[in-house]
Amino acid sequence: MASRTAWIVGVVVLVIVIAAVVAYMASQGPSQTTTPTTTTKTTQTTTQTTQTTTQTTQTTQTVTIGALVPLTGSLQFMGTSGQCAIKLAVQDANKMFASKGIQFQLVTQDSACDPNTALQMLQTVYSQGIRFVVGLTCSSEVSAVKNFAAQNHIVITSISTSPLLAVPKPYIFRLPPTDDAQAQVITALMHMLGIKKLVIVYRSDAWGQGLSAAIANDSAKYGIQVLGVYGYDPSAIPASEQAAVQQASAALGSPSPDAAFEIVSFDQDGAAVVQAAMNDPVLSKVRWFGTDSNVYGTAIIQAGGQALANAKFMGAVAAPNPNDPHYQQFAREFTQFCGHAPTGYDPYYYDTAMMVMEAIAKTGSTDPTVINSVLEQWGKNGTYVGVTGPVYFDQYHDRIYASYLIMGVAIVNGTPTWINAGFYNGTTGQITAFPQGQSLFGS
Amino acid sequence: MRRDLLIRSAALALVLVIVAILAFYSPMPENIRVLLQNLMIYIAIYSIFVVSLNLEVGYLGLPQFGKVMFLIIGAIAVGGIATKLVLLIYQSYLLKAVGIAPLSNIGQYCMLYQYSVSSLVNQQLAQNPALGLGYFLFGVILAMALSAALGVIFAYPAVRLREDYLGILLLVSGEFLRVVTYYATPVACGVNGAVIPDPFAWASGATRTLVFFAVTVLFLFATFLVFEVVGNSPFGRTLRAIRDAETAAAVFGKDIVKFRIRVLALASAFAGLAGALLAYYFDYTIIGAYLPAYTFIGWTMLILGGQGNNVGAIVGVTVYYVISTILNVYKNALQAALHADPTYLAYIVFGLAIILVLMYRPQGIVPEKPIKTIDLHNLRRRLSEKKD
Repeated sequence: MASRTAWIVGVVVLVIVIAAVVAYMASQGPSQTTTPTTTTKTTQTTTQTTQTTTQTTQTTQTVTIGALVPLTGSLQFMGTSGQCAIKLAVQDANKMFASKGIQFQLVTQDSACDPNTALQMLQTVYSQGIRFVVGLTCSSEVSAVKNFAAQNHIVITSISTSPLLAVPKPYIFRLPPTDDAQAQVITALMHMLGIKKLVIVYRSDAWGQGLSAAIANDSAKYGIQVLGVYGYDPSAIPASEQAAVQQASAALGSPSPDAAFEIVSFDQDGAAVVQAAMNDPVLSKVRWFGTDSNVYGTAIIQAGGQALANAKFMGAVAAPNPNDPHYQQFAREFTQFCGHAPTGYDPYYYDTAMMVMEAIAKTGSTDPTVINSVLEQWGKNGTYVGVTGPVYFDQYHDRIYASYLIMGVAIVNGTPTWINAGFYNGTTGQITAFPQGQSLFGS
Repeated sequence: MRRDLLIRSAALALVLVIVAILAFYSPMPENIRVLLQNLMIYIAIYSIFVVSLNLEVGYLGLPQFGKVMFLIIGAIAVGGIATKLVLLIYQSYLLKAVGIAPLSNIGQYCMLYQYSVSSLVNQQLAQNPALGLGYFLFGVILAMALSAALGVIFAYPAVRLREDYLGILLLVSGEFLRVVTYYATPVACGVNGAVIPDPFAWASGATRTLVFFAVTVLFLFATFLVFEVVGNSPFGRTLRAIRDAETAAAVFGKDIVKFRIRVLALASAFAGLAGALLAYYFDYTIIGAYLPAYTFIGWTMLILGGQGNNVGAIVGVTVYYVISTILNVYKNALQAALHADPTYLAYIVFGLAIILVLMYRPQGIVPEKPIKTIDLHNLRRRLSEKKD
């Protein structure tokens, strides 16, 4: 009896597997299909009342690209907005390259910011014939998929920023600069504002640890003394943040005009840090700085908008100049398409998709090896100019010369509001204060 | 009983061989084959995990809600200890090549140098497959030993208590270990995650996948044999007796606590093996990713497949992965058809499946069968024949 069951079970398992594979294969077409779909009929009338009719048959090639974004998990807020930016890029590309007979399709999978899930999802989209994957967000995900992408020639464009991944990584390109670049901008801004003493509170993850270490290193170059660096567990809101803030306050000792408090956080946990710091007798009287992941935050400004404005809070986010018409057009389109203004990494998500699609459209090739070479070449010359500006890559396929928008909080019509305070030019290294941000740059 | 074991083992071996041929040597398109190959590796690793969970939950009725803890221990054994051993072996070479001794400044190594160091170590391991194998086996054995020990230690304070207290303690233990080790850089590079040198660096591309598949399947087969023998032995029958009537078993002189400790040690060791294999498979591990959801995915697989028998556990894993992959492949098409966000589709489908299975088929796809033992009459006859 038992043996019969075992056999039945074995056969059932086998049948399920085979049936799934067969069904899957049967339904699969290649991700790059060429179909004669468009027939243009042109009728020309001449003055001699002679009618000539020409028929042109144009072929449309459909190219499917994959998007792996965190639609669940800790970075869901970034992934959902980023997914919208990628969809917008696909829509724009289809308009731009329709004349070339190329149509792009998008397949989205949830990577959950979990390396195990990210690899499984990459394998799934690979099985669908997709060789171009965009939007990978977390550095741990990029670490997990790195070997599979190189082995199977999958071009990946990511918005990961960890300096740990500044290593050779074939077929993987990172659109934002690494966190080292952001640290340079923040410390340059502090130096410009005459900061001499600094305490840092950071969220204890790879990003927070890497960025705070980079800020501490770069501070030394400008003679800024780092009095303390304190991590907190972002999953233990708000007790962990409060403890870190108290430690930072104790390390700073007393407030002074040349002292500053750096908050390396995301939005939600940043709100807990701000709530703790706004009531602190020392930290509430010094300048505050943020990062690309808490500027534009709604939670942080709701938690302590007035305190942020009082502390002349400023943070830098890798972005094109907001006065750049190319970016302005993107911001308008994005707001219309997604229902809200673009935040921190949305322009980068857009460019992860658009850069690849433009390379495919311009070369007419869907061979990932060819596109990999094209992206490398474009990265050397800055050929691709996206909504985040001209894209240059270093030898590790990481973005260089990126510019940063300096955001701050000011009281506008009685309400704490995010404003564009200034701009860091990635090519020249100069910081320019915008008229509306002058008050934040003053002492 | 022995005949049944042989048939079940042969059936499993046959299925694995057929699937291996299908995945590696069939004329299917390359992309499908790659998916199938990797899918089979996941199924094999999670089968080890769920078969071990089955001994605790299915056979003994232990509320094991902290199972993810052993994936974490496996990851620590490989990413935190075995990797450091390899770094120690190549320390002088690495010092010359990259100018740093990884173990003397672990923070800097974890944050900046892991990939460059790992790449150099892989080059060395590629030339020395024996060392690679030793490093692999060391990681696996260490994971099993640590898991067995820590499984018992973590559960010990509540092992005498009622099921609900023990369940909560195990759940908390998993989270405790995750949070503490995730924020401790020296353990397995903490929040940066640990880059793991490839023990099979001598093989590359599809060969590497084939080698890893073969090794994983071998471990699955060994696990299946061990748990079949244990489950159908007097020990296994006692476990079922404790599960079905704890007080009655105690009255008959069975020491419930001792049985729980033995089961926890054995099952934890094999779950640790699954954790180690997972870490080696990814060449990278980050402990923060091991959320309690991993435990409940294991439970889902077991509920679907059927508790109290190892075949059911493996069937549950297979069904879960097949459905999950099909949903992932088709959910974009479903989105277009239904005009609904498919992000949580898998959660809905599996949630619904669990409810339906518990309502209409609580025994799962493969129900538990009574253990076939030689009846007393036949046993006496055989004994008397032997005496004669």
